[in-house]
Amino acid sequence: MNKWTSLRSVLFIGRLIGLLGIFFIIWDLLVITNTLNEFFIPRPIRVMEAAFGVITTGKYNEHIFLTLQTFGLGLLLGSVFGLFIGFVIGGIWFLRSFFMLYIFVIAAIPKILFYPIIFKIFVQPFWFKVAFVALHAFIFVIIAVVSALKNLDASVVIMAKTYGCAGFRLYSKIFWPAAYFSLLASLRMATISSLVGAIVADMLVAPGVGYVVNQLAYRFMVSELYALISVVALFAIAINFALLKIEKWSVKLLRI
Amino acid sequence: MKGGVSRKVVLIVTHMFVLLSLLVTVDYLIAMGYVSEFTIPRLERFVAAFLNFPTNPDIPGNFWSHLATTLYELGVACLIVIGIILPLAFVIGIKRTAKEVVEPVLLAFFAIPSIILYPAIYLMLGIGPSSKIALGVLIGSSYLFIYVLSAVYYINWDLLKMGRAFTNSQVRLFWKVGLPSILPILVSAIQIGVSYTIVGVIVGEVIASSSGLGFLVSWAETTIRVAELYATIAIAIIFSLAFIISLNLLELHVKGRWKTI
Repeated sequence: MNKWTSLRSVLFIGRLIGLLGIFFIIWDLLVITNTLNEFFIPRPIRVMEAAFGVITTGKYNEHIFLTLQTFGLGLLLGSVFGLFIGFVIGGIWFLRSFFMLYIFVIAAIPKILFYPIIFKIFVQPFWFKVAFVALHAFIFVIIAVVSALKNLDASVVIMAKTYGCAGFRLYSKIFWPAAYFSLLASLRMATISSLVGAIVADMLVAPGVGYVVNQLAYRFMVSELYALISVVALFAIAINFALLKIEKWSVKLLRI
Repeated sequence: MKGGVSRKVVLIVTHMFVLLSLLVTVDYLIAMGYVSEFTIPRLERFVAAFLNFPTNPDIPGNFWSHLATTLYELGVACLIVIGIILPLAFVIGIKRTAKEVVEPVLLAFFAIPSIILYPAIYLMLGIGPSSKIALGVLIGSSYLFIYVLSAVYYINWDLLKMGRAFTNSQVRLFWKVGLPSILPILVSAIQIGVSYTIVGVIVGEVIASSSGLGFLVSWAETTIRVAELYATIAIAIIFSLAFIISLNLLELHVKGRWKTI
């Protein structure tokens, strides 16, 4: 089984590398033949050189760390609040029926429309960004928790209560296991969404990676622009991959 | 049934009561000076700004042209997502080899925040509608692709095989078995794709543009017109919700009319 799993992983990575190779060759050919203007889209080799420069010189490290900081803190706060409020709302019928409408409405609206309001409330750029990222994470987590509790079989809760399970025990023994799997799945979505939120917040208020990317575009520094985009993309893929591993590992570990 | 109705009535009354109390409380706090009018406008100023927004002479350009720009960007982006990306995703989803080749790239691409590509997009296409259309298509299609690739698993292939035994006509087979079988998936995919396309278009307008509803939000924020800012946000929210609610209604209609086989 393990042998097959590792073979599948190797094939998966092989396909990915192969497709990327084809993509780079086509890209290079299009630039060499002047089909794509090198002023707007540089050759892949130039981007790789610039990416190497960005990584080794560390000239944008400050911005990258700031974005990671707001992303991490926002994701943490949004998830914790989402979890807490989700359990409170999800466990009580009336609160769930009342608040779910608002939660779904906020989920459906592009979050960027709230940025001026959040900025007016938090004023400081750092805390504005953290709050903006937290909003992105919060919505995914709260929807996952409340939906899981809504779909929980009522007879299970009634049976638990007849056996004397109440208060915190009801949450830890019944509600938490019921919400666990949808919470895990939503956490990955929340992470992707939070990263989008962090970059959008940077683009709106300096400093941060989003701000630098915008500035590079304004100055037509295309090689560095694509290099920084590639670095962020690699970060995002690494985070997503790590989350997938954590998801699998925690399912095995908890055996719920 | 009676219990359900009374529950709904209680909920509606509570919603109205809580919303009204919230508005009155916030307005009172602003009037008393506990909340700055630079943060939240007075209720009467907001209502006046909202109602007079289309005729407000301070707005750069004409309000209706901004609305038309957003509608145009959204319309073209949705057409591309529904007319080109959706069939493409479906074909890739049902062709096993194509799916195995494309899926790793798509999963990796899905993890990348598409918005980071926006500066590269407006560098190439400018800050006009085409860059917003491109961003909308990019964001909408990545979510749509992931949904369609996982949803094709739920198609009832046995019924298609059985249908083939009863008719030779491919068109008839498609209309009678194929389409009803995939229609709920298609509608849900459209719903997801369009929802994220709206996000892409509005985000693009707020970050770098010269017209559109998102641009108006950005304009009101930078010129510190608080009442107008809240009015624009309310208009943009109503616009987005109207789009999404109409999609939900379409989904309910289709799922009710064409039962999943």
